[in-house]
Amino acid sequence: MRMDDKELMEQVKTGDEEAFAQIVSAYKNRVVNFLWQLMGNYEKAVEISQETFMRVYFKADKYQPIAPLSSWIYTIAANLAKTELKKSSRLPQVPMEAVENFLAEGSAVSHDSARKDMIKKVRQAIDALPPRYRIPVVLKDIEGFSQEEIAQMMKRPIGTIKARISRGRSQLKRELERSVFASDSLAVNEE
Amino acid sequence: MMNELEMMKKIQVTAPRNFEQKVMANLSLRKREQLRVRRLRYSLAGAFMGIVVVAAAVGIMVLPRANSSGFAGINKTPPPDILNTRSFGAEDYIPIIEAVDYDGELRSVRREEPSTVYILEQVSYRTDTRTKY
Repeated sequence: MRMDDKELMEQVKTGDEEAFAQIVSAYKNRVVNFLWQLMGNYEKAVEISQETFMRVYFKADKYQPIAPLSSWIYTIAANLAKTELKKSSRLPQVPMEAVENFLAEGSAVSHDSARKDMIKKVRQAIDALPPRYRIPVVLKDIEGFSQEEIAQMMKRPIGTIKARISRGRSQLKRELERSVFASDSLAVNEE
Repeated sequence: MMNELEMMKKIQVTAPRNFEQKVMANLSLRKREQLRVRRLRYSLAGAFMGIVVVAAAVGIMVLPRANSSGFAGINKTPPPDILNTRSFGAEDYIPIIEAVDYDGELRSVRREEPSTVYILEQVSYRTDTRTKY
């Protein structure tokens, strides 16, 4: 019998590992995908996803069933990602070849080279965004959360979230235009 | 730009196959670690409590006995004699005043010897120089 999230969390609060395993099973793909979208590094995304679920288990007593469980898990994941992004901004970035290789191996990715190229550019543009814009943009435009939900998750006023999404999108657009312009000029030079 | 983001939305990565096993293994590892830390904390707290109890026992049982034997009178007000001697600037001493039997010291006037009165005087220069009869 499949219990709902609230019941599962009640079980997890008592230390039930089976209920916890059900939660991991239900959310693992969404969390890994979200973190990959945020960080652009699959290995790191998996690592932080594991840490996210550890927090879910050990901080289960802090979960309030007024919000959906997914929002709470995403909040934990986003906070961990934010810390990691801040940390990694001081370290050398993962080369784009790694992303390209991953995309080439990924099951859901088309092998069409133009499409692959576009994905690479979008990925680079997302990576160029600061975390305070990147997280709300990914949550809104890729994960499909509403602005109210994002405001609740990030514990910020809705006006702030709206502004961040808007600025994030503008910056993303500028980055994409720049990369398209750069590749076009490269192509002209090659000709 | 929304097209690009739509495209990103369609790209989904999934968790690796052994993800759940790794999470559960991590969980048992963390639980064990927590248990170890909790035990360590309890044993440290126990050791600290033991030290406190021993210190309290020493304070209650040993120190009062020491006071009663050697140091019991140290805080008491000294007798008036000592207070007087201190006013002279003399070093601490224990005054011993012995009762004197003057009968033995005086000779009979009936004898044909000059009567002599012996005056007992304290000789030490280090102590009270007042004459005691």
